[in-house]
Amino acid sequence: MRKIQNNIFSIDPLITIIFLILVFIGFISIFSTQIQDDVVFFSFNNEAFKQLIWIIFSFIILISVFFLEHRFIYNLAVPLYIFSIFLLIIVFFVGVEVSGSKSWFSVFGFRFQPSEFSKFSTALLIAKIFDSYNLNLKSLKNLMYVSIVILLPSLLILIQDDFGTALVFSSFFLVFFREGMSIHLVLFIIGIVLIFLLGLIFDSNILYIVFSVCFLIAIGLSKKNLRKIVNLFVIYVFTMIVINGQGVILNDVLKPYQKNRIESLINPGGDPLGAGWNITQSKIAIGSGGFFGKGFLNGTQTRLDFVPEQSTDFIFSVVGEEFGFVGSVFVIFLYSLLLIRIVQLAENQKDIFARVFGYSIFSVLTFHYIINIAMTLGMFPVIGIPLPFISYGGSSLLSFSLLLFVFMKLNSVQASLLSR
Amino acid sequence: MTGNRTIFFKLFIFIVSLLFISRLFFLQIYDTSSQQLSANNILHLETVFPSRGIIVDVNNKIIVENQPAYDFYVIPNQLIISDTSQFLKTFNISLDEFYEIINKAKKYSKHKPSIFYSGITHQEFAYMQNQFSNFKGIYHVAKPIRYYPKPQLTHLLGHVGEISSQQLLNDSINYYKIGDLIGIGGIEKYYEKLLRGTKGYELKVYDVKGQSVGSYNNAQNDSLVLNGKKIKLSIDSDLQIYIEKLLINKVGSVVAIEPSTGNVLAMASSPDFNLNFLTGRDYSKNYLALQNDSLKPIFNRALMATYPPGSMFKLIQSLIGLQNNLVNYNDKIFIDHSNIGDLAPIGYYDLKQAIIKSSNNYFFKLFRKIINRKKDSNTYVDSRLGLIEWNNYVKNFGLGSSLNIDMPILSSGFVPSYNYYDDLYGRNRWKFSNIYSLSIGQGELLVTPLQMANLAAIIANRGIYYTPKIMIEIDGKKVVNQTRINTDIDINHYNYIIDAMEDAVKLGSARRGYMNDIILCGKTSTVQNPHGYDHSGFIGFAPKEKPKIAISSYIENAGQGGRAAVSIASLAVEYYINNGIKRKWLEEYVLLGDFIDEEDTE
Repeated sequence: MRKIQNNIFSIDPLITIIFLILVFIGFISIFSTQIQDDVVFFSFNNEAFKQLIWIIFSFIILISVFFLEHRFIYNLAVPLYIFSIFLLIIVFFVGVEVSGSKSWFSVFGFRFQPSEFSKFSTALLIAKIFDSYNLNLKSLKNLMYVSIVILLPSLLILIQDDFGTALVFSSFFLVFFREGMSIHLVLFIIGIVLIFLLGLIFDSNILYIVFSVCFLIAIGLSKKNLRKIVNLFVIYVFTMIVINGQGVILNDVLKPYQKNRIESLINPGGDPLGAGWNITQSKIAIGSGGFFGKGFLNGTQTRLDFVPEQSTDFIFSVVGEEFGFVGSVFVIFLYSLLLIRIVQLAENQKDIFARVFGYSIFSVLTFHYIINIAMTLGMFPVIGIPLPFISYGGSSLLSFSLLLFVFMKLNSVQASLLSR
Repeated sequence: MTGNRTIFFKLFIFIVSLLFISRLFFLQIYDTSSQQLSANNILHLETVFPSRGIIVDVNNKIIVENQPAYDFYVIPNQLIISDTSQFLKTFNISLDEFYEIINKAKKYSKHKPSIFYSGITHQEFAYMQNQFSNFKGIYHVAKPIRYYPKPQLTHLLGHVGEISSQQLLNDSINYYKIGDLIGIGGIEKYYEKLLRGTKGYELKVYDVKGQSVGSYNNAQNDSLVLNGKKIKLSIDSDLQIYIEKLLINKVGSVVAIEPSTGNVLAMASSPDFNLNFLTGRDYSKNYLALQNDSLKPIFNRALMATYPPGSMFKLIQSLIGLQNNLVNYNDKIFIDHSNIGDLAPIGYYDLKQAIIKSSNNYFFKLFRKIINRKKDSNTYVDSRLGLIEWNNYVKNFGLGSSLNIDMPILSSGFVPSYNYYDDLYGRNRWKFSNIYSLSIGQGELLVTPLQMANLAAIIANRGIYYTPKIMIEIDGKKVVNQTRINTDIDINHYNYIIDAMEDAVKLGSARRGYMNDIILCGKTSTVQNPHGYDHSGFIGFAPKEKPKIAISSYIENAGQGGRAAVSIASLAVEYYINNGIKRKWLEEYVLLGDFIDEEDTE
């Protein structure tokens, strides 16, 4: 059994191929953004060259993952989590500031973001917790306990002013949902978000009136069932609190630039220099790609610095402009296939640890995929998170690859067990 | 249940991906506008600069307005110039300057606009306009600049200049960009947010030839420009200009306040300069020249200069003495010249006579009574207690305070406290003999011309004042935010010293300011100055009943207060109340400006 365990050929071929294609698309897109008069490829000023080094480095790490004993990964969960929290705290003191958030370590010109690593360690710890205790998530108490595992790194990252990455941790609730969290709670959270968004469009007084009328109608329909009325009343009070709190959060809690980003989605003209400008430019770049795209290295909009952050957060606009509808749909197709395949594999796991870990990476990847592409297409506020495997950035590439291939490793162990 | 949830996840991914694909279909295939836009066209974000708010005086006369001007921007990557020499000639720059500008712009961004040339007037622009078709990558933006139809009111208004890099760093909401104009000094600075308005933005589409072909997306993404608000000042510009005329070739300042409201009627500081120097392209050159001028024309003496008040301070000493029963209206005491230098004759004085003749030795004795009340047997402790009480009273008159006037940079003057003397001499190591100069408004005491005018307003109002304000209306709406402050001194005491001030103008040291038809009440100051001739000071108000104007004038190195300061103040009062001058001889005397007599020694 030991021998089979280290067999690198037992990994899932579909996922590996998709992974390789995405990394390749990422590399050529970054390469394309770096074509300028005075930047040579073999230089540390060239992001494509740096990305290539990171890709090679990631491959080395990935292969070494396959020579680990799989119980070792299991035992590593707690120390790695503690270590990642430690890094998140340390970064306050020795970190460097990049575009407004002090969340990076800098070594020899290569920058590393501990918050990326903490996604991986959090996924491991959650898997281990579900594996060790038979948690019933119907109980709110249990749910709160496991939520702490997510909230701790998330809060630390929030303090570093990296709102996007902190938000990624909320995706772990998808895992909880799979593991039995009540659907009512999910609907409840979705409801809050919806009301919050409505509050951006409509005046709060109108919302008060509309929801009050709905409440009265619902009472009328409840046929004097006391429980229903009590439930309705609780929901009503919550709704009022959210409508009221929406303004407070928008004006007092969020930073002015975050508020701008949310508002510029509703009204792109509100902040034409900042977030509105990004979205407009990104949409033009993608739209100008047409059906077949302008061709590799022929993008003009993205190249001309019109799209900001075009190698990181807005990389998809490069794909859209240079490879057109065909290329963009291909990338969407690859992601869908990858994510659905991960769900499938995760569901097949006999081991709870592997299953929960599988859903964790599904959740994190899904969150990044949806938020990033929706943002680039102008369907969601600008939240600075990368597109997995494609965006420029060593820490994120490494952390996504690790997530994916540790799961591949766990899956290959399972496959070899089954084949026995 | 869990099986359903697996399907939910897969379905979720499927639906989201389908949404993305339909969005892509819309953007890339259905909606062809972006393809047309990017074919070779360039979307260009243009700033629409608001016109700065107009400023009018109390009679709605315009004192600051705008005139059109243009800024040029360059986008290095798009720059194509067919004829370089023609280009250099058009913009009147050398080749080296041109390269310097372009390299700086390239360093910032090759694809984004950088400011290239600013403050081009309308006439220059008209001449340049027909040459533009020869250059690509150069864009212009209309950016109105200030114009001053009445180039006086220099210090009061302040001016407008390019924002500094430090101010840019402090601008937390990122409103300002490099090259933007911002109020510097005076009203322009204090009411910057009201006056500046809000910049607008327009997305404009440019074609291959660099010509604008219209707005993007039917201007739905644009944000509207909001012009600055019109503000009205309490300043009477006629009075202000008349005072500035009187101040020509003198160093000093005059402040006039309407006592019943606290509104500032005039605030002049001399020397000054023509504000139109500081608009347009020669801004930096001219500003530097003004900064290096030894007479400091930029320095607003009315708010920033601090002087010893001199004899006018005897009015406050009298009020404190009366309020504390240290002196009564008809008490007469014998005064000789044993304590302090004096110009008043030796003899018997009551308080009124002491004010009229400005007897230094009388106030030396009165101040000793104020400081040493025998509350403690130790004379050091007693002096300390006396000074604490005196300090409180003096502060009630607004001295040592900025008075909350709506101007950005101002001095608060200085009213020495016991802490100050403790630091200077050591605790309980000083007594009355160390601080007696305060009795006649000299020594460490420092006040600004604004505070002096406010003191005149307090006396005119018989004990209360409204914090002085300059701006009174925004876009036609009245602004009322003045505070009423009481000095806590009996109104009869005020009436007593006002009688004395009336006599000071009728018979005393301020005789030159006497008018037949207007009762001016006032008090002169002649302030010793170690650096040259004495400073000449005066405060006063008129008419005696229902005062319309309270005024201070303080002229540096002009000798006795009874000459320059009182003459200027009295003329200003006559001009304000009668709308004209009958005493031409006095006006000529002031304009001539020769106040120093043989007997004045340096």
